[in-house]
Amino acid sequence: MNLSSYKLIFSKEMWKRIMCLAEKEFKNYLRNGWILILVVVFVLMSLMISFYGASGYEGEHWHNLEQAIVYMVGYMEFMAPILGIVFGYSSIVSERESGSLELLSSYPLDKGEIIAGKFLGLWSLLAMIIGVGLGVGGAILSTLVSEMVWSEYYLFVFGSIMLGGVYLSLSMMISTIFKTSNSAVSASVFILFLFNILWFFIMYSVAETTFGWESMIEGVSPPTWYFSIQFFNPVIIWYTLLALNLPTLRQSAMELGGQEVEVYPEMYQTWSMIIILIIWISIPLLISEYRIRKMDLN
Amino acid sequence: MSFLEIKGLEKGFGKVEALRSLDMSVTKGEIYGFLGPNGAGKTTTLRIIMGLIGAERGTIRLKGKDISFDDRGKIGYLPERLSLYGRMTVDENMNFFCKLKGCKKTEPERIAKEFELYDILDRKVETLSKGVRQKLGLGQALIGDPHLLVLDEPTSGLDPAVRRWVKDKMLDLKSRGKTILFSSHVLGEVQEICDRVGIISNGRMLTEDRIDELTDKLRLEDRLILTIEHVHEALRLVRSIRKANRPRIENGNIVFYCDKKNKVDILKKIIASDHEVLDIIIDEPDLEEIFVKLTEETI
Ligand SMILES: Nc1ncnc2c1ncn2[C@@H]1O[C@H](COP(=O)(O)OP(=O)(O)O)[C@@H](O)[C@H]1O
Ligand SMILES: [Mg+2]
Repeated sequence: MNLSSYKLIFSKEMWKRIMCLAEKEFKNYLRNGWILILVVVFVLMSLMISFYGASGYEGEHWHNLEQAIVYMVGYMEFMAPILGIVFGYSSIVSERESGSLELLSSYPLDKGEIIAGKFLGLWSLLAMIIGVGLGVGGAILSTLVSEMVWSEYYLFVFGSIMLGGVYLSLSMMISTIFKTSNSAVSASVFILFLFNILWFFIMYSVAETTFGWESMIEGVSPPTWYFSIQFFNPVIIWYTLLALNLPTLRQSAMELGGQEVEVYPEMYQTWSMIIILIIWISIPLLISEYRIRKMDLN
Repeated sequence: MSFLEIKGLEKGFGKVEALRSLDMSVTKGEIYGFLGPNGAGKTTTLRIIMGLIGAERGTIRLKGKDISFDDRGKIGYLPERLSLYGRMTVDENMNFFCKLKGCKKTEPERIAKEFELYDILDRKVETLSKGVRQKLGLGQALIGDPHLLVLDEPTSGLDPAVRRWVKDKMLDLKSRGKTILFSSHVLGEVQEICDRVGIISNGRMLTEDRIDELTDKLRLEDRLILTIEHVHEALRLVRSIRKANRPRIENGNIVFYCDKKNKVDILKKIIASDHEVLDIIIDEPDLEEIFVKLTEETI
């Protein structure tokens, strides 16, 4: 790294501009009526799910933290990506459509600052919303269950904010690629569909045509490459991060085309999962920066 | 020495050659009108100057040096399709743009006062009329007190009062020492306030000249259409006026052409005659006409 780029990273002016962009993004989205409705719905649903999750549905699971967390994980598996997509898909393309991106680009800003500012602003908004929704949910849980394990719950909240961040970053990237909001939202939803639903079938076919799905169920550890492929799905990474730390989830770990935690290879660690999520956030942002630099403004 | 000097600018969008070796030179302290029909390449040129898109070939020099990222940060820019942040207030928009340029905290207030925005600082931008938004856009371009303003069609789509206001503001800014480069596809807009014009068509600069010299050189004629009593006798009268060119009757009206500066004299003579004039339509020279003329000349 040469001296000038070193200076660039630590320039106070640059961070001021990024924060200014982030603040604008935060404010502008918070004033969007649709976003507000979504937030209210999200908080209410978190409330309901934590309440009914803790109550259990078969009578025998009354006031069960484990059961509640399993429900909430299943819920956030879709909710965190949806929030990320809602904040991300139009972030660039709508400014391009309206023309404000042209004005913004005429300012003495690095293109990376625009991406960084937008991402930070939207991610903090997303974190705040997830924090409020799951915070209220957590408070309700703690009154219902006999023993609240807050450390598990915090990790769950943190993981969900990270997963939301991955989808935010992915849909921001999509927002720099497509020319209309409509195509950007479709592409983002396709990614959600791919990672959350199609993936299971893909991995099943891969397993079946190579070492055989049956053998895995019988407890034979699949080859390492099979686990490596899973790195290409941020939802699996998120799920693994939680499964490694929340004993309850382990029993239902078979879900996402996953395996018993007992057969996880060495590389599946809490820290490595966090690093992979960070990589999943960073790469789409770098691509966005490249795309916005190459963009024609029409 | 020219303030902003462009040489051999070329830019294509796929098969469209938007700019073909375009030259331009803007002098310090002048209002330069960049004139051309829609699709001529005005916006493309201004965007390249602002560094928003890249050119394939050509140089842009500001004050004798190749233009840099830092220079561009000091140019005020008003895009053709102005879009501010609608859900934020006037004040928030101004503050946002000021912070991006690293300006003093007092700057938004100063500009709000100058641009008649002071009473609507708390209004959301989406509730403002197009005219007020354009004022805000112009105010935005002046953040950081730039020496050079690049304005893309600043008067188009505005009602006459705001258009007048914008033109007066441009003259005011010129008197304060700013250099203004602005584009337009309407000749009338340019004639009134420009010192010099550059005329672009199909990505080529057809001519660059002082505005008065250009009108002389092209001998631009106005077309007058008169609705008048006793058309045939009146036609004889008009024929007798030497400076009224090519008089004839069209759809029961008298039509003739004349030099801009002779217009009033000729009309006085006709009105002073016995024939009652019921209506007068003055057709300013069409920009298309100029382009045709200039293109013929350059070929
Ligand atoms: N982003 C773009 N992609 C493709 N063609 C473009 C783009 N921008 C401009 N053009 C084309 O370049 C030519 C010049 O356009 P423009 O500079 O906008 O003209 P003007 O501003 O004079 O009306 C037009 O033919 C236009 O269609
Ligand atoms: Mg244009």
